[in-house]
Amino acid sequence: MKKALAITLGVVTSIGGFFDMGSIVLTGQTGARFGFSLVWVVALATITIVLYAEMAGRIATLSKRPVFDVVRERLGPGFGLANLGASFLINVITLVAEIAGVAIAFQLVTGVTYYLWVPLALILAFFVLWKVKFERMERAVGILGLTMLVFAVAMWRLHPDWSSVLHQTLLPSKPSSETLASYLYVGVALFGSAITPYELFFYSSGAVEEGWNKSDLLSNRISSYAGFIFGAVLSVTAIGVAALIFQPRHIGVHDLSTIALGPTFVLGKLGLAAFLIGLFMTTFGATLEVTLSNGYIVSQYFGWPWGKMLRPKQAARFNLVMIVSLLIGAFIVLTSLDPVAVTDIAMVFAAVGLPLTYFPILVVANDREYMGESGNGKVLNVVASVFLVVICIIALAAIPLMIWTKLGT
Amino acid sequence: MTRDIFDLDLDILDRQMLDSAGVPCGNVDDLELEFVDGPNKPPVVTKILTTPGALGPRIGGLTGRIITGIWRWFHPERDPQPVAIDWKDVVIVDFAVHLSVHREEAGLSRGEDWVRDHIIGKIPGA
Repeated sequence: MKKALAITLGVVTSIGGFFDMGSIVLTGQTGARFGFSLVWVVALATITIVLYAEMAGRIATLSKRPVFDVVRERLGPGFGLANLGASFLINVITLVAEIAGVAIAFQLVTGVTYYLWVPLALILAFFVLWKVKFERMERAVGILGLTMLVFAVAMWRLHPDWSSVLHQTLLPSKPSSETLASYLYVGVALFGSAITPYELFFYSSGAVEEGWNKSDLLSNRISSYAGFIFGAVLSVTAIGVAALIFQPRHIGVHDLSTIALGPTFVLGKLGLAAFLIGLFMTTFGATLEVTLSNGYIVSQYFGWPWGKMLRPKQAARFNLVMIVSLLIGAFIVLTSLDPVAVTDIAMVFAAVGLPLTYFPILVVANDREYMGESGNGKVLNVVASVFLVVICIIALAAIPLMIWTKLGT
Repeated sequence: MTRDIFDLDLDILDRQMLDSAGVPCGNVDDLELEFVDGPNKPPVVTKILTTPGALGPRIGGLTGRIITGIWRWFHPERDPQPVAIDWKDVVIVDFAVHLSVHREEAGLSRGEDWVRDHIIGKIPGA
């Protein structure tokens, strides 16, 4: 039973986290503008998140300490606080994108403008965080989020020339209509959308809360590998559908209704319905995860009681942080910023913030005091270090690229 | 992690504290060392300092002053001091610093209690 729970956590983290508003928007835009030429970025991001989620889960299992606890200890209170501030802000911008995604899902169903659905999204999120048993929510998100496989079905039904798809994926070449800077900029945003930092905060805190022990190490590995690889399949097929439908017709992706056209074009109403359910579940799941993450990181930095399994009364400040985050997020959605533009920017900032969280994880995963014999092996360390360097390069390049390309236009 | 030698910076500072009931009650924000056996002998850790009143000075600079300032603003006392816990109240140090005192007794539950009583506790279903 507990094993099943552990694996659910991984799959939910990836459905709500890996494939969320950020990925839905970015994969659509990427496919429409760059075809299959940026699929390698998804592969890169998947390996990175799999390696680091497994480490974070292992640390949480053996040391009973979630990621942000480790961050403060290793970075010290000053850099820890800087990371807290940055992560909190990135989470809030991400939350804006996710809440907008939930509201837009309602808009696409009813035709009523999404602004009016923001309060409903807010109340729904609050209610679930406040009252609903978490396992129940995890299962609902996990199972209904599977409808996003509609992209895989749609891609298969489009009968693409697979050898050409493979060729474009493995030997990527930037389309001549796009500049190299835009190519790299969208690549950075796509990378950020796949490995937004909140996924690790959520995953490791969940592992601590569910009281994983040594016997859960295997399920940790399975769930982090299987969960995120599943997320990657969704991302790649979503890029595929956009590449096959939008790119040849020169259709730009500026809103979610365009993205919804992909599955609808191939599978009709059924495709649209599956996409809308998936859109709602993934963005709603991510809304919960990001909100919880903000509660987790602030509480863990200051040493307050935290946890979704405690009653709100037993973790008052944790719950206060979550409520405040939700309110700020919903307020920003209502200021009528373009939700797709906000999502793009959130994902770039997500990429900027990664090294400050990933570095302490790699250090502690090597600490034999905690990890005993389950510390990182040599091969894993070499690979993880290489990816850490990649993350740092991406983080450093993100802002200059953003300015250089004027937000990728 | 049972052992005899601790690295104060890595193993004690910034670590989660749990009270006698096992409830999180802050982090080790700073330590107080005293020359108990005279100036020629090594100093001894006598107290754990915690709450933002101890965190602010440790971070230092403008950020530190802002943290201390916010903490003083919210504190009911006019000239508040950071909470100090005697080192003899530390039971064991593993993934957390376990204390033998209750959080209320140690003065560590003020913030949590205030938010619970004035905000969260008032929302139905809490």
